Amino acid sequence: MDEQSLFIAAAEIADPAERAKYLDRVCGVDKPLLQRVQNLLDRASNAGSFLEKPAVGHDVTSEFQSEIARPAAVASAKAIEQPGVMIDSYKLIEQIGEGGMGAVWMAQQTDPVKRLVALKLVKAGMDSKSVIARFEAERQALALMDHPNIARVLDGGTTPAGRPYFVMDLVKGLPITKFCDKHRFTPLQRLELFIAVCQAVQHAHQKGIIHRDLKPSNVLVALYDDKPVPKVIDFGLAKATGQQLTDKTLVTGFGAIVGTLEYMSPEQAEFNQLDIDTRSDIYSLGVLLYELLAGSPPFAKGDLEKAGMLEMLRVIREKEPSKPSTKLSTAERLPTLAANRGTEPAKLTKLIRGELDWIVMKALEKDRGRRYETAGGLAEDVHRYMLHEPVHAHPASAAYRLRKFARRHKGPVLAASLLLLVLVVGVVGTTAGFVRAEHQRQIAEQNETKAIAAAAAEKQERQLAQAREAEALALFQFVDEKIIAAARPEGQAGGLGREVTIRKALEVALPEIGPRFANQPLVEARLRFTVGTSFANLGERKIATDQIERSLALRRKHLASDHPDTLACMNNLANCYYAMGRVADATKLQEETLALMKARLGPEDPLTLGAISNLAISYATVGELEKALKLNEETVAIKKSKFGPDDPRTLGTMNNLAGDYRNLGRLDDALKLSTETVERSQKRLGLRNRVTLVCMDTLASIHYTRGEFAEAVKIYDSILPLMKEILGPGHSVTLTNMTALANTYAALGRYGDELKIREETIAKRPKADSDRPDALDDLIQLAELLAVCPDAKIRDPKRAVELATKAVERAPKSEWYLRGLGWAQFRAGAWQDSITALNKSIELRKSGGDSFYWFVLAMDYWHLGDKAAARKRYDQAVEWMAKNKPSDLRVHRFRAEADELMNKKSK
Amino acid sequence: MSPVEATSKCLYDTLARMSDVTRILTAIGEGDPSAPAQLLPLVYEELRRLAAVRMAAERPDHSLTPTALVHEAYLRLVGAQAFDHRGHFFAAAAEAMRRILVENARRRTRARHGGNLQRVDLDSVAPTAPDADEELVALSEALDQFALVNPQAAELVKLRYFGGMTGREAAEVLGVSPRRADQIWAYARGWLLERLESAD
Repeated sequence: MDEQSLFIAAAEIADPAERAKYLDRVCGVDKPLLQRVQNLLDRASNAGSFLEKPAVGHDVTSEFQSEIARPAAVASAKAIEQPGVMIDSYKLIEQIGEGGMGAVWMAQQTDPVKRLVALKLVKAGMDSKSVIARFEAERQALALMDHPNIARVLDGGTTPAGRPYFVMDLVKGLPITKFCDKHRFTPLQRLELFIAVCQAVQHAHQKGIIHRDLKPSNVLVALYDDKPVPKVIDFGLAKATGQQLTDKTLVTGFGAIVGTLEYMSPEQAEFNQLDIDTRSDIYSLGVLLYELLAGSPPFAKGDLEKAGMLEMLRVIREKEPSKPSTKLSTAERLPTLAANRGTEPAKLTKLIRGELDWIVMKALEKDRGRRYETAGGLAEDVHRYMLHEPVHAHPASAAYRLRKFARRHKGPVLAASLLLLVLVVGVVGTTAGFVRAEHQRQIAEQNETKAIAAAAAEKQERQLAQAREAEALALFQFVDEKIIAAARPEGQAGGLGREVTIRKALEVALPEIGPRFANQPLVEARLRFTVGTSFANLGERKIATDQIERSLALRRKHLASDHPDTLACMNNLANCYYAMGRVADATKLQEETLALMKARLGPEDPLTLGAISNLAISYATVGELEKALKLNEETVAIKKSKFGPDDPRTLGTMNNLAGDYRNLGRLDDALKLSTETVERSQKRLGLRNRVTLVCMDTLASIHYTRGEFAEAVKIYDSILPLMKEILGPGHSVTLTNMTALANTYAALGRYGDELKIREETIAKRPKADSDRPDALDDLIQLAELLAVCPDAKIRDPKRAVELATKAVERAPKSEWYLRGLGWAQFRAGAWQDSITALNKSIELRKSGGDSFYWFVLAMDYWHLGDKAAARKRYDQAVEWMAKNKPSDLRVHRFRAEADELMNKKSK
Repeated sequence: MSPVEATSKCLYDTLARMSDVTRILTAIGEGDPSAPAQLLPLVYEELRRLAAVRMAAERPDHSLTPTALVHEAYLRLVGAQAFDHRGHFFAAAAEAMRRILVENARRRTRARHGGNLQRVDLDSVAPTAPDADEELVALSEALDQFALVNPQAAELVKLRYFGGMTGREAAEVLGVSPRRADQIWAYARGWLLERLESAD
């Protein structure tokens, strides 16, 4: 009885004495179990409310309680916020606004100087202490800001009622969009104001302050001496207040979203805001410029709200906005918008289309790495436009074209995405490093020494990231111009027509790689490596091998022979060789790679372990079973402790080890290990997983080898549809599975099923693979079935000869294929041909002939009238059978057939 | 039979992720044992967003309960249709909720122990008793250990404690009688208390 059952049974007994007796009786001498269960029973009866109240309820309500507990304080605070009331040294005069954060008052400062200021009272409901704490942390930086277009934040504190407040320069102005419309500013006048705003933001960024909430109502324009002067207000407040509780802004308990939706950058629409940086402000500036030109932000508030909160955030993160000119041309209010900009609709649209569109869209890139790097950079580009100089922004980015391409070419683009994915991975890695460094910098801010070190690290990371980015950009441009561009209509630059496949596109592009990267051998090596590996995954082994070989040559020349990149190249090249059937080449290269990896990376490095597994597979394939076994046994132990027993990498090796046991005839070990592997992988990875499917395939093959055909069929049958779906019907693993299933049907005598599967295997095998051994095996196996199947309806001697002839033509030295051909010819009545083929096959065999040949030869000779020769073969065959007791039914059927033909009596 | 190559695996994973909740639930209905695992990341994301947005509401909805949150996620991801296998959804939701809460608690605990209150990140200002966070993390770890020896009982705790389900609902998900679920519940509480207290 297990612990739980014992516990439950005992718990049912109410009387303590009876219960103790019961436990005593059941546990017997197992005193520790008795004590353990007794202990658990005691705990359970004294558990009180432990776990009774759900965790979520507790967490959620406690956060709400802090909100709910406040109404009294709020009420009293309201009462005292009236004109004339003093808050520290500020006297409230009149309320001049109500913002998302709270009410804004005009106030009179009395000390140390007398002046009018704006005082912002933060709404109740925020944690005042943290607001003030964050404000204090930011205060020094804020004090460093000194710019004519920035309203300074002068002070901050807490009202007697406990509400935080901030004091700022008083700006009597209108939000920039309203001001421009009111004064019917032309687009050029608007751009001029916008440049000033950018410069202000640039100034703040240089002082280390990010605004985080740039929007028209935070950019006020007032006339000073008849000159419009924009002032950016509320710098630093978004960070200090963090949580803004309005209908337009969001706050969360888990990850805060700060900002106003329409102006919020995609990264601010994420729940993890650790890495908001200056580029978020660039995005908001982009929205501002968009609105100044087109009359509304890219995602209008109404649309966003209609969509619901989550959808809004998704739109911000993912949806590409339409260009300002497009937005304008479809706007109902176009005449009004144009009038407000002192121009006509057609002229306005034309003015914005092109370069201004590009500038805005560059600022609005979802990927902040593609935005302007600085607010100053944005301002300069706008300035360039005004001076009629070429702008830095480009039309439709390559990534954008890739997405378009993807929509048109769902199939082929898989390869392209794969390619780009691999190319971009390097950059992402280094960017992550940069983010980490940035994070370190933040943490260390208060510790100067650390800060200097962190800043240096950050700089280094940034430079590295930039270098990698430049490399990726070069690659990306190549892929874009030479490969993605191939999807353009014929006649256009690089265009090969819309229905071009990625394979075709790559074929055209491949010769260009050399000249294009003549001075960047490592970039060339990386591109060839990536292209080659992608092709290998797609089953294009020849191209893959060629590309990876060239990559390896470059890397060997320009990198150390044991550089990890070189080693990765060697490893993948060996895999290509293996896939092409060049197992000896693969093994040699793998042995070399492994030695280098062990020395350079260590014996337990994941790469080394992967290389060991690959080598073991090669050993197993060439029949070096003991070597394979040893490698796999060692590796399984290491991987179990390093990755855990359920890691796909561990499971993969366990699966291969089970295969080794099977090959060595250790069938009980094989079954035990394989069963465990399947259970673990199903549990951990699920059924719809490649590793799981391969493990199940192995288990089925072990059942087959053990003669447990029904079990084998059950497994093969169940995984076949999944393989077709997940790996594809033409994938080599799927096809191998089908062959195994057909063999099992044959063993069970289900020849109709066998035929169906074999035909399907041949039909689904990709044309490009038709010379591979697997494909020829398909042919000969079907030929054998058609020649020797006991079911006459299935037999088809003519076709059997055709299939076998095809296989023998491609591989004239295969004893197996020749034997198949001999059988087919015998069945077709071509006795002499049959004798020739079978004798040729026997010659190739190290072990000479056996009954599978001699019975058929006997019948061939008999038909030809050479009865002596026939009898000689027949006797040979019978003798061999008595000695070797073959289990293959076919040989028994041959014997029966020969007996009948030659009037012999079968036993 | 054939080598497990790691290279192309990511491709299939990506394809698998494209499945939506409805399809996964259908797959569960068809007996696909791997489908529940695919459910988790989707439910997790949705609950995270949902909880975040709910808590963002200026006027918190007083009727908000964990069950309500999970049911709302269900409506959003699946719609009003009833699936025979919706229990799997709630099981995934319970696990998702656990991860969310534990991550949160860990973050807050780290922030507190960091000794630098001023630079605490924005998402950690929500006041919660410090002990509660540490207890939650400890409980979750104990639950992981429990799941190794008694997966069913651990699942029950997850459904009730993290999924906010009643004993009856949880029993239904596990496919046991309510009485049986109560018996297992008693055992589970005893086991976890023992583990937590002996760890002190």
